[in-house]
Amino acid sequence: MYRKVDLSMCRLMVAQWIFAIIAATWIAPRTWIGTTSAPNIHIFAAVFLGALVSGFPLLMYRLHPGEAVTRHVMAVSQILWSALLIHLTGGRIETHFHVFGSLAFLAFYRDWRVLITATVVVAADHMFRGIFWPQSVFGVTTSSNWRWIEHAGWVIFEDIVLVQSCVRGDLEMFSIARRQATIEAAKETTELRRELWRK
Amino acid sequence: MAAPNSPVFGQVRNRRHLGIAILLPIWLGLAVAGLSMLAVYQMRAGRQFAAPTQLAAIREPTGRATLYVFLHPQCGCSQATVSELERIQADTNGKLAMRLYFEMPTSDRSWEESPLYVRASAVRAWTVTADPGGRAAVKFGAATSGFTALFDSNGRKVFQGGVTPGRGHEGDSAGAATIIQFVKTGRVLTARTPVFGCALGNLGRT
Repeated sequence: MYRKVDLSMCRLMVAQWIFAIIAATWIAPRTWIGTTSAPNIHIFAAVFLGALVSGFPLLMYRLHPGEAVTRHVMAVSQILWSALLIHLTGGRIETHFHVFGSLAFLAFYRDWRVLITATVVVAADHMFRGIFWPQSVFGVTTSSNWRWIEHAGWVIFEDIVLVQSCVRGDLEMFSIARRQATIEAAKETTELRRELWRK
Repeated sequence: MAAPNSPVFGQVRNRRHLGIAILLPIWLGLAVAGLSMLAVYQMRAGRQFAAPTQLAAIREPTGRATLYVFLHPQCGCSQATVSELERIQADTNGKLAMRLYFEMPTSDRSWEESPLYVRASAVRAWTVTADPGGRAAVKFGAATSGFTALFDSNGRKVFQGGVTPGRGHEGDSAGAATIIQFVKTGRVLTARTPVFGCALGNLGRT
């Protein structure tokens, strides 16, 4: 199951990279000084930084498919993508929903630890920028050092639902597997008895 | 082929884990450095000079509080400024006059077809004017696209600066909050904020 989700996440990584290049090209392809212009830094960020953010998870899938470390790299990468896309789309409030969509995607792993990794990355990003550079994240030059907790709180709010769903999904999967094993064992026992009876 | 629990298999596995332990922090460090560079770019303010303290000095008619805005029609980052102006327009409920000046080359009027110019022209409440050669921008001290100057009904300057929190970024900003507060209550939160955007031709290049 983990390998299948890894593969889906890899496809998502590539799709996000393509989307980022299109968005950067569409929104602000060039910077201007009067009548002269040069390519915008966003184009380079989308191509090279996007390749870096997506590239390592793809490598991890190639070398360690289905392993726990690959899942956590996917989680970190997905949140880095949120930060990059928010930047490339000009801080649009709508793009902030990418964080919540990403958590839902990561929940497909049915491994609650992956959600914790993603949440820690979100919280760390908001905490450091909130303390040292509040204007870049909250739009004001002076902000409470604890405002990042409010943002992280909404992420944790979603986590509570998703973690419950992961744990319940795991238990159901375990229960189905055990039932299946019991049925198969019973079937094998019956067949064995039938063969012994024939002999 | 080596069995999964053989020493050869164990060595290969350890080497792979060592590879991850080395590559993971390098990858994370490079990604954080890249995002930090973008943040530095986002927060690098453009130049601005002092706008006239009294509107009468430049012979412009006035009746209510007026916001003068100077934009580069090709500046993609200034889409965020226009988005913020739309919010200010909605929040102030028509109590604020807005005059937008778009700097144009003197010989080429094709910039009037740029997406930013077309978008701003579509807002009926705004007065959108082409500014060939950036003459009005020079009068107001505008050197960066997105520069705004707010004057009260008597033509006295109360604020100047940008209305976005960063270059090409929408969101709460001290500039937008000041303009809205002044129109609603007459209170000025700050007299000046940084401006984020492309450089305007005349003053931006100096």
